[in-house]
Amino acid sequence: MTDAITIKNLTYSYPEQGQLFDNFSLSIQEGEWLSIVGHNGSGKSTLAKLILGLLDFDEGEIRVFGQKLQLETLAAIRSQVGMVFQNPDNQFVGATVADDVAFGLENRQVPSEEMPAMIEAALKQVGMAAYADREPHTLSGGQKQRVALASILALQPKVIILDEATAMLDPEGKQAVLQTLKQLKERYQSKLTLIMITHDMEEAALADRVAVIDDGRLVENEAPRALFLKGQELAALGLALPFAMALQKDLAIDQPVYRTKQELATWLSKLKA
Amino acid sequence: MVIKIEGLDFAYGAGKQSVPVLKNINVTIQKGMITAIIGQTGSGKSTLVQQLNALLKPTKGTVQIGEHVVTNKTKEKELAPIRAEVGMVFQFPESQLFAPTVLEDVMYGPKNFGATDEEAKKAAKTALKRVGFDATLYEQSPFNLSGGQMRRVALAGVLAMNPQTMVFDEPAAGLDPQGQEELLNLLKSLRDEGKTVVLISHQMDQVLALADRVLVLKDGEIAADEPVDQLFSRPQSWFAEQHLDLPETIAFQKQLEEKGFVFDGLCKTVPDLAKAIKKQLDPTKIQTLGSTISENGEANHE
Amino acid sequence: MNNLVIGQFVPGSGILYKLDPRTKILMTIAYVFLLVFANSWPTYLWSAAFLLMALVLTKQGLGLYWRGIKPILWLILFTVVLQLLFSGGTPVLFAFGPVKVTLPGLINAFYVVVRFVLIVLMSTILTITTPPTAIASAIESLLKPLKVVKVPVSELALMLSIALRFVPLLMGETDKIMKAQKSRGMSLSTGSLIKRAKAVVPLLVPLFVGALQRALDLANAMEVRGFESAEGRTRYRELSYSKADAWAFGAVLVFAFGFIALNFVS
Repeated sequence: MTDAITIKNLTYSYPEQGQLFDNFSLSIQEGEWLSIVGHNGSGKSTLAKLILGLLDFDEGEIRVFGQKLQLETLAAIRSQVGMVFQNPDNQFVGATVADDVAFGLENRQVPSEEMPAMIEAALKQVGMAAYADREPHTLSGGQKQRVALASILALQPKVIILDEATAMLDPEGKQAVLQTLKQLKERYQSKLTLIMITHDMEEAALADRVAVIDDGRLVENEAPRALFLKGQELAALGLALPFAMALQKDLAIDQPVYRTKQELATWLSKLKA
Repeated sequence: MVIKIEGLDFAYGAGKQSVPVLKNINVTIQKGMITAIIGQTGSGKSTLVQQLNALLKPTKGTVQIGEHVVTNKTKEKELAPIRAEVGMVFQFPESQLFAPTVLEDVMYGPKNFGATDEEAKKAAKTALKRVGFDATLYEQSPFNLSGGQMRRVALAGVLAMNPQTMVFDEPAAGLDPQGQEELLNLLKSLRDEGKTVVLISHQMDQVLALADRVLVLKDGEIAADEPVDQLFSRPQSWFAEQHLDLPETIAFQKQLEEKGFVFDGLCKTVPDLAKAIKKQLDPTKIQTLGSTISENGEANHE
Repeated sequence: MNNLVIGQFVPGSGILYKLDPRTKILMTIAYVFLLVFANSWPTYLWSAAFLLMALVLTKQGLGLYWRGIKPILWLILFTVVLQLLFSGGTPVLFAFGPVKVTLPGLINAFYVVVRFVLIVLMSTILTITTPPTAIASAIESLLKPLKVVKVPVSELALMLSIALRFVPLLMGETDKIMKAQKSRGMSLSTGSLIKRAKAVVPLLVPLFVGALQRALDLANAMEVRGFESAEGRTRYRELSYSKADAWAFGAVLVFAFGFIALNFVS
């Protein structure tokens, strides 16, 4: 398996608030779904910006599919990595949904006559094809984030980074975005690497692997099934357990294993019978 | 102070182009309680709470706030005193910060309502302490703070006015779990000292943990107005109709009830739910069979 | 605030919606330019007839245009009063002391109002039938010759279209901050002028800071989607003239000839 992204011995200091990353390393495999969690200010969003070259780091290196991130490779790397930001309003460039999806294509100098089909295909994948002519202020937050996803999908990226993309959404909008992500992963399988930055543990649990960052250090890095058994450690990091795991902890089960809500309910009813 | 809304209609704009938002609202917000207002996005929650401190005036009907009565004819001048009594914390309130220092920003409200510099400073410091803001940062610019700290300053800005009633619109949005918990504790402590708290939230777990009474809005009308226990005893299908989720503990409780578990009353917290489940299970089974059955459970899943 | 019709795009299906935005801009400019030279009631009548035709071709209700005129009624009224009072001439219709209302003044006032209303309505037709982005790309296309003298036309057009896109957002934000500060006791309508000016600070600073934050976020979002320069990008919406545009230019020519002829006659 090849690495989609390799971060090696990264050092980064904020311009004013001092050092954040010191000798930080993390690699993300091709086709993996990785969650990066941590409390506010832990440095997880900064990491995303570093990967896309929106911030300059001091030392170390970042490689995307083997290609080292530097000024000369910036454009090539950005053509492989897309990013959805937190605020749905601040990343909507076009005047309508279709125009917004077109923006990236225009930058790539895709011929005009090829665009409509590409835009439609991208919007279909996120369930927004019926909204192509809508203006952004008539959309809900969740719809805007799905358009943001479509805008990236149209560029056929190999990696998508979601930087707290659901944090400003209502539950319905959030579910719609997560549902869309699941469908995309289903569709592209190992051709799409997803990196989801979040502080919502239910959301993090959707991933294959969870990396926990605390003050710029990588403190946990394993599958959700293993990670969520560490109740105490997570609480100490200012993170909550997913509901089913919190309940198991209070049930004082001797050797708990990771279970979703559904699994736990089934297990409990068996225990009762 | 009681807030009483009677026969309220509200529409944005006038004439043919008017867009009705609230229809025939009759509600009393009880003193010293936490009243939660829930409903799908666009159901009119934010519009409703803006009637509570007369940021919006009713198109029809009356809003009685303590001794003040607001109708569509009430003059702007008469509204100022109402705002001293009903504080309003908007969604993402940190976007309202403006002053050169934290302290000055928090003093803004009290000074507008007639406090002297000294009084305002005292009120500001008390409020900042209450939200757990670091005293060494009082002279900092609010724009140099982290998001979480900015939120605290904005909250303090409303607390410092010491209003009898406080309205919070999604106050925990964007905070991490620790920040959320601190905020919930703040709301509880306000209630405990006799203040009236109104909370808009999408997070049903918050509503369950905090609210005494809940208003449910649907398409601008009141779909339910009842104590929190009564509300969450409604069937899941009713919540689906309102496009609302159930709180996780209650959703899980209902799921277990379908599988033969029996609960008396609602389990509001995870520990409560755990206790109620344990009572119905053979304790030795949990201890000894825990691991073996768990393996089965997992095997089934895989 | 949302009732302002001028500058707002209203989706519709009239023929004018199908015209190239450049045609509509040129049409509006030609119309306004000619109106300045209108000198008699036949020319005004001719101009009004042309406008009426355009109105009908938008297939929008007249109520929409009435709403467009309504907010500027006071401005019209003010112009009328000025014209009435300061036109001079004879015969004097009636007088209050030194203030005289004369027949030429009355006629002048009438013409000014008609001209004003016609211009406003014509521009409203342009914005109602043309999405802001289309206007931006039309301006870019029309100004293309200026590239020769190093005017960054593409950048300006992109800036314009992004600015337009953020208008509703900033209006919403203004409303929210206004309400938040009102809740903290802000009052914009009392006190001396200096006091009032100071009272705006709690409104302006957050607006400015918020807009700056949005701008930074947007710059990041644009960069990661491969934006480097406004030059050399392809276009999703290519502008192209069609048969309808030929008809429109024909109609404008007929109008212009008629207008000039009528002007000479009187």
